Parts: sequence; C-alpha cells; structure tokens
Amino acid sequence: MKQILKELRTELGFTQQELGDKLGVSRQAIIALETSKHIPSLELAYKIAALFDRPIEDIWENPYR
Amino acid sequence: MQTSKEIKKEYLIRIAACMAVYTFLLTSTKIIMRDYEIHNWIKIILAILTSMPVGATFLALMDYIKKSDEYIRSLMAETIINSTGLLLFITTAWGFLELYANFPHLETYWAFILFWAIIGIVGAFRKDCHETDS
Repeated sequence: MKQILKELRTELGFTQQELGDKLGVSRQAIIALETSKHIPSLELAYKIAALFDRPIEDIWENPYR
Repeated sequence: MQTSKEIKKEYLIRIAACMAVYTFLLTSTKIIMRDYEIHNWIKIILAILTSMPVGATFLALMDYIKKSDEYIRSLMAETIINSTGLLLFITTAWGFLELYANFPHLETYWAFILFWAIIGIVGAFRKDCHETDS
C-alpha cells in the first residue's frame, strides 16, 4: 500500500525515534510503516492522521478507489 | 506509559533473571542428587522447582508481547510460531532418529534450551533487524 509517511515526517523534522515516541510505538514500527512492510491498525492510522492533521487517505493511498 | 525501549529492557532483565535462576537450580539440583541420598518426593519437588523458571520465561515473553506495539507484537507472534514449529519438527525427527537409527537419547528438558536457541536464530534472520534509519 503506497504511503507518504516518510515525506510527512521529514517535512516536520522528526526522526523515526521521535515520531515513534509521539505515537507510542517503536522505531522499528516506524521503519516498517515507512517501507510499507506493516499496514497499521485502524487505531494507529487514525493516530498518525491526527498527528499530521491529514485524512487517512492522504497518507495511505486507497487501492480500492 | 513505558516506552518501547523500557519494555524491551524489562523483558531482557526478566529473561536473564529466569535463565540465571534456572542455571543455578539445574546445577545445584544435580549436585544434591549426586552427593546425597534423598527421598523420591524431594526429587519430585526439586524437578518441579527447576521447571519453574521455564514457566517464568514464558510469562515474561507473553508480558512483552502484551506491552509491545502492534508491529513488534506481530513480529514476535510470527517468531514464536516459526520457532515452535521448528522445535516440534526437530524433536519429532530426533525421536525417530533415536528409534530407528540408534541416535543418542536426549533428555526432554533440552527442548527448553533448544526453543530459546531457535528463537535467537529465527530472530537474527528476521529482515527488520538489519534496517537502518533514513
């Protein structure tokens, strides 16, 4: 699933560790999310969307639309 | 709320403590059994006592999984499933090798040591371990 998490993170100047701390997840989780190796749960996706103040579909491209 | 680093640190300390207690009980029990004449019911107690740290490692592992984030949880679940499958395969194969090909008998308590060795090997080969920051 295509996503722009890395772009959003660097835009705000966060390191992976800092973003992980803000979301309450490990740095490994951030790496996996940025490389699309892990599809987040709805709860984590909403958390990320709220942090970047964007709708979920702006961050993760909907492959069914 | 604990950070992922604190959760991992707590888990590693608990596992190390369990291993230390297990090693101590295993060696001291062997010495007691070798040097003293003891009743069978004491032997039963010693056997159960030595197994206790094994149970404690699984409690630590389950606690770690419960406290971790969703990604670590999925990785650990996958690692444990793969390790358990490999352990079952190896022990079953070894059993048949003992039965058919006169391979030396291994005590079943080796399964615990083997399980952790397999978890270590499976974990080392996991792709996420080699990822770097970008």
